[in-house]
Amino acid sequence: MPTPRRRPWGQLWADAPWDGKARPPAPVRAPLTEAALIDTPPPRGTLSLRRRAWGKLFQAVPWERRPIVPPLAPTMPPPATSPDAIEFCFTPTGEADETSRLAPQPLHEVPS
Amino acid sequence: MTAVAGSYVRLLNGYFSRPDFFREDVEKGTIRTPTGTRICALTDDFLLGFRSAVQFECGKATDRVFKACGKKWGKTFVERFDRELTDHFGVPLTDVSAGLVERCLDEAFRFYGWGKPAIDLTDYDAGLVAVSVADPVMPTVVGAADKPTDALFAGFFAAVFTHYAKTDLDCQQTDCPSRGADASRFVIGLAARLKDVPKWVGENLPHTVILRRLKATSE
Repeated sequence: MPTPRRRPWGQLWADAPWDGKARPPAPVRAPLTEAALIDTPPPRGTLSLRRRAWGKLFQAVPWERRPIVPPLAPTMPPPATSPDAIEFCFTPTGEADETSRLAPQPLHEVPS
Repeated sequence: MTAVAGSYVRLLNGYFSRPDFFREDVEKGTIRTPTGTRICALTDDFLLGFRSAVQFECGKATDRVFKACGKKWGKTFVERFDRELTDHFGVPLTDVSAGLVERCLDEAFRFYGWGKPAIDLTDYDAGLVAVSVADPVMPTVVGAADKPTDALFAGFFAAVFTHYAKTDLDCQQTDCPSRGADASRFVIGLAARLKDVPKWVGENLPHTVILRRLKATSE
């Protein structure tokens, strides 16, 4: 019987005994963990402005009011207009500190 | 694992921390995620003012209003979380191992600035799941209070886990930094089983005792 965290996410929640009554163990499917582990790099020019080199950031500013950020990739769905599609990001006022509010750094990144 | 020429190697589970996640449009003054969801940054001052306004308008119903808001927020969040990560991994999210999805949830919380969540599955076999959030938003900005102040997240978790359990679940807050705890703690289960939790919280029973009582009543 695999530990709960080794079960597929959907089965973990769908098979929980929410009524508190013990039930015979259901057959556990193996989770799919073999998804490709290497991501393709993001297209050039889509890096966050603050992740660019400081000097290049200002050299690249379209001072003549040309678009500074390339448009979203054509395969991307059009930006949602429903109010439900807005996500809220909480930012503490005052001085930033080293708390979990800070956006995490990219994980497992190995520069070439 | 070797670096790809002119690029880098990154494990696929870093969806929310991918370097191109924020897509800023300086001219329009907007930030969007790769799927077009617009990001709206709220300050502590705004949250405090919003909470005060809801308290003024709703009085004793404030917690119920925040919980209802949290449910709506959680429902839209989990649908988007499901869709985006399913696209990211290339397989249905429900088939991915629970540990990996939990890590993605953790990453989403930290990315959006909501705190650091942890799911406790110790009482899973009793049909109860506990969740804690360290450095939670609302209690942190509200400060000291005589009762838990995270009804928003209680509604949020109820909606999120209802989505995956495919049965109506409730979530009650049992511990809160506003009352001196080190994190917000919640218990998730069927509403009928959790109905006494608010009374026990009012009696200042600790989270562990509440969980023990819940287990005892179901055995």
